[in-house]
Amino acid sequence: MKPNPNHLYTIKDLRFSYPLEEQRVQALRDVTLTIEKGEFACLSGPSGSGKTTLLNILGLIESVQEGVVFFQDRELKALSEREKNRIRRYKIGFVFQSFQLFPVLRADENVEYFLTRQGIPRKERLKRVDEALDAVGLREHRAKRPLEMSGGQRQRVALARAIAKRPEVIIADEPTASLDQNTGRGIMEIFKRMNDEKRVTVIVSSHDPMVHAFAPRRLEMKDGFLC
Amino acid sequence: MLIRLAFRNLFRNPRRTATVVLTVAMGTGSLFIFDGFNAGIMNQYRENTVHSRYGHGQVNTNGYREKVFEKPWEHWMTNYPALQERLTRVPGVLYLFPRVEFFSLLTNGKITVSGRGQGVDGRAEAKFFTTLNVVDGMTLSDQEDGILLGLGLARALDTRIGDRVTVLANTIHGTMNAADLTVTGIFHTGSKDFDDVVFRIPLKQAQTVLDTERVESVAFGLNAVEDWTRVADVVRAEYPDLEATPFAVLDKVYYQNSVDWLGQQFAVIQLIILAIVLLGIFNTVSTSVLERKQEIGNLRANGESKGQIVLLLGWEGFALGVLGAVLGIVIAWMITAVFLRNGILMPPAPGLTRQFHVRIELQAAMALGSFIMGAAAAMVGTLLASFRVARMPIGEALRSI
Repeated sequence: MKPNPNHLYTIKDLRFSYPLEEQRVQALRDVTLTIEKGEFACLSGPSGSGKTTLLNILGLIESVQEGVVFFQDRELKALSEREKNRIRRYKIGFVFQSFQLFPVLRADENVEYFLTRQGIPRKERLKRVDEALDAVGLREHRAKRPLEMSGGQRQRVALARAIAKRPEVIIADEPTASLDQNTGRGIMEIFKRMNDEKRVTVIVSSHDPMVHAFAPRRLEMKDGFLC
Repeated sequence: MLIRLAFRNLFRNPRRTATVVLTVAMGTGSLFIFDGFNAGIMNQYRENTVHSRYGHGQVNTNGYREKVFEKPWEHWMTNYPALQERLTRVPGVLYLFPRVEFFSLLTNGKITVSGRGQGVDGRAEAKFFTTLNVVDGMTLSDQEDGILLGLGLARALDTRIGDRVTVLANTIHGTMNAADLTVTGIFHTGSKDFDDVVFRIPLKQAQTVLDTERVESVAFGLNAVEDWTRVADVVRAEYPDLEATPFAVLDKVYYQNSVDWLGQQFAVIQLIILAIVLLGIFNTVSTSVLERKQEIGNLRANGESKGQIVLLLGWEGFALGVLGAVLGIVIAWMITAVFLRNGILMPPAPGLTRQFHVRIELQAAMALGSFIMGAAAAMVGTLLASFRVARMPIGEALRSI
């Protein structure tokens, strides 16, 4: 199987199960899907439908058990741990429902952290931090620590952190679930802008209709199947 | 940035950080004080040995100590004044104690027992052999006709302080000779074999009884134990027919074996302290690290390798270890200076009947050793905990609450 070069992800017959006591729970069943570069897709479906599991596989967080998944032209099963780390570090930005910021670092330091890990020189890092914080409208809050910020501000810092990496894809798992509608809308607008202006591929999971409205492509999931 | 994050993480949960730091501090402080106590007790033990019987060492003719001779005096040193003149010039030598030993009979007119006499320079030895355990009367000093008896010997003769005792011995020419002496004191070393037979009389009296000017051995009182090397070097270089033996060899059965035995015991206790510190830190740090599973999952999701997670947590462990170890050493120093200034009162040591204080002898090298051990234990405890969490699958770490 040779993936189309325009596809960021090529997925065929993907199956995934979790162990639960002595049994296994099937989280994904025969999922076949392609996601093009620059696409904005939203995974929707009820809790337990397999959205997070699929996102985790796309984010190289979970390993492929059965089926084939390509990230660009690389088959995930063939990647070493080191190669996966490298792809996650340089090509994928994550936004989680619970923000996952470092409480001991300031907003700008949170954004800068993974840039340091990418080996980017300080001057360039600071430029990117400024740009990312500008993009999410938090430049004036750069010196605040996460605990001094509201939920929406924290999620915007998390988004700035993902943007600053200049990834191929931003994977966001329920990014608005901890936020009120207005704040969530603000976050989604930033995602939309990033996708429109920077052509960053965005894959979001949510069961919120407000979020679905932002995504040109909606992928409905149910009981591990892609409907 | 990694180091900055590691250090700032120490302030996330100040109470837990304080618990770990105090655990390390207690462990390091205990090791430090224990090391100081160990050194104190070893020094005390060494001082007891040196100042009770042997001095810092002694000189005999070559091979004299290893062999038994029919006429031992034929192997004694002949020109002591010349030897004395040279050896007193060796740096660090404070006293020379010429001695002779001989077998004899002791009688009080009613009871006669055999004994082993030591002719000693009472005046000189009284200044140096301060820990000889005299249980009654006083040690031999200026008394020209004094005799100091071992406890068993005194009991056998049923003598008291001031009683007269006659020492009968063969001269080196084979004729009988005798000296009437007055009991000045009774000593007790705890060694029954020694206390039952040994007595001390002035060297001049012994030489008169034996009819010789020779001395069997010369013991040394030095400024410090380290000065012995110089004495041994001079003897080796200038007196090829003599040999110098340090006190640790002379008293191998009691001193060196005890030092080795105690050293081994201390090493085991030290290991136990380290194990307790390690477990305490591992337990506390494990809890702290496991509470951060989600954060560690996030780091891994963003491309950090398992090794980098271990490195991050290792830096935290390093900081905790250094902080705790420094605190422990400062606290130990303060406790020693304030509460243990006079040392720790110990029960009588082997050969003594009186209690004694062991000073806690803290040294910079010990502080460094304890610091390294305490900090390393913290590092190891943290690394053990971090290996556990770094191995966790990323998805599982992110899902954890």
